[in-house]
Amino acid sequence: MNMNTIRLLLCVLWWMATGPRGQAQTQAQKPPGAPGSAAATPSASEASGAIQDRTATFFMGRLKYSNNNGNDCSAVGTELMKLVSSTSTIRVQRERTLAIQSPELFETPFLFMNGHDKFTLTEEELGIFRKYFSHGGFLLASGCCTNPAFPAAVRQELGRIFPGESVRALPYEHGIYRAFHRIESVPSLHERKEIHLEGLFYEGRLVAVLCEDGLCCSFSMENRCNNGKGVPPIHGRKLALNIAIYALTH
Amino acid sequence: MESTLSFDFPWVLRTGGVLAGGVLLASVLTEGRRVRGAWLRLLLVTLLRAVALGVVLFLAARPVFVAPADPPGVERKLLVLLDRSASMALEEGGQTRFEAAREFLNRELAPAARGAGIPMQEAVFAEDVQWVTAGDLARVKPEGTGTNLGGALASALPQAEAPPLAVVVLSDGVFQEGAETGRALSLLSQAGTPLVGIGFGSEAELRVLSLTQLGAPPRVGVGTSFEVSAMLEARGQGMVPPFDLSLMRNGQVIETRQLPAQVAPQTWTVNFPVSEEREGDYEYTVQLAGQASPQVRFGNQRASARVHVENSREVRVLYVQGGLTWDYKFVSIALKNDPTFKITGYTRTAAQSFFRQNVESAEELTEGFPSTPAEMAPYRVVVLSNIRPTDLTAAQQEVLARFVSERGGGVLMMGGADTFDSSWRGTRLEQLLPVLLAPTGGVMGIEKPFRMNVLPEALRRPVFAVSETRTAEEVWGALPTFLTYGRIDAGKPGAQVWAEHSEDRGPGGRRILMATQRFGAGITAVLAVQNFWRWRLAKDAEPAEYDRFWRQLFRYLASADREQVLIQCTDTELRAPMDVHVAVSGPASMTGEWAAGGRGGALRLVVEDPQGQVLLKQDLAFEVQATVQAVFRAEKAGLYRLSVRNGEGETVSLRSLDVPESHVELERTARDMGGLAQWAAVGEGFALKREDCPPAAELLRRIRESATAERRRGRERAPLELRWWMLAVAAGALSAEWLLRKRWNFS
Repeated sequence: MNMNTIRLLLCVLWWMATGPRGQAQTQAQKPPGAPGSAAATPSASEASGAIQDRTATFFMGRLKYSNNNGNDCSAVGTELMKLVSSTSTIRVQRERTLAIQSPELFETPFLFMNGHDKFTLTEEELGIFRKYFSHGGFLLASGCCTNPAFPAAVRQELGRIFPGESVRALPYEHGIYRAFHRIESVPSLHERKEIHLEGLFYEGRLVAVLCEDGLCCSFSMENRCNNGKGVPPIHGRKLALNIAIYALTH
Repeated sequence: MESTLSFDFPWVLRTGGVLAGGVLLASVLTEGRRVRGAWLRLLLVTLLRAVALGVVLFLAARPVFVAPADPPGVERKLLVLLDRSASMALEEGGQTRFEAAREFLNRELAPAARGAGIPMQEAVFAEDVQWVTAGDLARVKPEGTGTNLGGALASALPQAEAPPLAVVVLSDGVFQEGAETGRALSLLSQAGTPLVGIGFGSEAELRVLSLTQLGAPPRVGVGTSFEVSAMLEARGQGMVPPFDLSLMRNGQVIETRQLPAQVAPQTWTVNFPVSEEREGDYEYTVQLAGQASPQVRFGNQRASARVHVENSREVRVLYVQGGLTWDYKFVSIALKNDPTFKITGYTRTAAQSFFRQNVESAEELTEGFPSTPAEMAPYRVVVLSNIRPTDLTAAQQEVLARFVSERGGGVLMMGGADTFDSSWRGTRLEQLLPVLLAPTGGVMGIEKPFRMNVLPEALRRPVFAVSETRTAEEVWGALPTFLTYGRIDAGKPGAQVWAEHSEDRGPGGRRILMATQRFGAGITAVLAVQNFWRWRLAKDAEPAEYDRFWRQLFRYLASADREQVLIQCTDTELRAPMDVHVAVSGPASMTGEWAAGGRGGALRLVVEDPQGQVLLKQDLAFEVQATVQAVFRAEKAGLYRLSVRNGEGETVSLRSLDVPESHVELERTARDMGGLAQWAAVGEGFALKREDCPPAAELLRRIRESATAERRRGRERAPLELRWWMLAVAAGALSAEWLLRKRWNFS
């Protein structure tokens, strides 16, 4: 076997290893409405058929918003659903990636959005959120890797949805800390402080939850991407499950 | 008059006598030559032999003593009973059955009887019997409310001077069983009178429209929409013409509906939505009115129900989930802003983990789903979401069934393909379902989206009136599509189907998605659509409509009677006049105040008739037994009021019973030759369809033959059995013959 043959073989192996992912990324990066893009596109996990229970009752949508393509820390959505599925009686439907304008948003009672960067919602998107929350929908927002830009944007933009309502911290007495696991406190890995979830309320009902300290990194990647910051993984998994159960029961 | 001796086999006597005489003569001639002149001795011996042979022949001919036939000088008449019940007023072939029977009697049977010299006596009968002359018969109308042939025979036969030659019944054969049937059969048999039935009418059921039942919740809240439900039944074949249905409140008509023509046979319910703004007792009556015709008759046309309107009480809902679903969340949101509702959640979140929500004490539901009536007592509605019978123990299922049937609770069973499957078969929980599940189980997985079609009759119910600005048709027609559902074969008898699948069809038509039924004192319902929350979340939905639907559905399920002390009627059918049997059950838990005789002193059952007269006052001793039995006589039709009062006169429990008039005549309208044939088969009689009848003279000949055979059969017969003295005579004769032969040296 000469060197050319070895090179050819390596090339084939490299193409096989990277080709499908490259294709998925290409499709996801198409702007909404462009030919070949769907309002709701299967995620990477859906393509691999990771969670395919057709009698499921838990529907989760991974949100595409503003300039975000709904693929930051790509596996976190799937990881969240696996976590919920394996720990509870919830039968989980496969994750869907949804644009805010997607009609399927109103068939998906649980939305998950994450990101690193600042973003701004249009008036139309704010109106959609307003309707979605008032109809009973729920949103979990998680900043990736303890990046302060994303949580700040969430606070600002969600605070524009309902007049007089802003995103505020949820004390440990709140039911969300006892919905499944009893969580007395959540220590920060990099600061001498306790991490609190934050929430947006509509008519006294919690409709959106934010965790600024890389909750998604914590429950999906053992916090490896967060460089020792944010939520300890054991607390992260408990928090994520509690949020899902709380959304289902309140 | 003395009985006469007769023989069953007289030929034995004749033939045997000849043979015996021949044998004896031969023996005399043979032996006469040997004894030579001792003829007198020989004759004596032969006589003794003849005595013994005579006894044997006498017994072999089966002697019987037969009572005399008729007293001398008594003339047997033909008794004709003409049915004058309401079913004889049904018209077929241009004349009513009664007219056809009367014409047959006047123009054929009576002249033929006169010609044959047979006297005739005529009577008409329905619930009683009346002797009539030919002139009276022309004025008789077929309006009787029952057909009591047994009573008519039991009354008529003893009045006759002599047993009739035969009883000829001219009827359609639709008889009701009466208390005097047995006596009538006995009288017929004793009189030796055959019954001959001539059947009039046809075998086709005629169309009869009846108001069979009126339902209304016994207690509702002020301002709460509820329904007065009239169950109607059209029997027979063909179309029932349009008719009016009027709802009256305390005697005043408040709504009249003109209902279109209906296809018979069918049973359906017409609901009148009602709401009262003031507290008090209201009596609702529904009156059925229409143009009766010979082809279409009306059965029961009126029924009443009493409703007590009071300030709303809290409706506590126990929502039990076999696994986490979104429905609980959305239902909770729907009830959130209504202070009269309280929802308590009990959800399995993992294999061994349950989540309790909104419990009122630390102990509530810690032991799992309620397994005693006391644990179930705080709730008025139980929702079983994604629960299968195997998730509950037998005791828990029994408690739930009794919660509905005895305590008047409401149960809603929700689920889809994964919930409603074959595991329900044969379980106590299955009895609560208003539907029959398909044996193949539900639809596994998401098929193509479907719509839930709410039926027009359901849309008129208050439960489905969820918008002030849009019609029910607009709201329910705009529901989003759903994805999975439980597969249902058919509704159970008496169930009301509310919604069907838009496409999928089962053995009973389109698959049922929503249905309800009364189950004892309570109400059950099923919603076989998975993920019903999709309605509220849908982009174009009005969440307020979804919320209102759930509040109204729970109010409907909670609207059944629910009393600490429960009054139940144990009779399955109420018809005046009758003895009505009542069971009064005490509270589920016999705690202090109840065990001591109830709040305010001893409890007493009071029954008032439709005019308000007290029929019964009975003290209730709950400390001895949980259920106390009582009986009162309902002489007349109407609304009877049953109440349990404490020592201070407060009404602890209230129940009204609508006892309809005994008008069972039109429940069956087809000619029943089987009924006539059964009566005829008592003796030597026979039954014939009118169209199969021979000419009257021939018919009379057959009647006479039957009468003769019946008399012969029916006369008193006493067989003369083998007695000791017969044996003694035979043995004595033979012994004497043997001794004399020896003494006189006969060989």
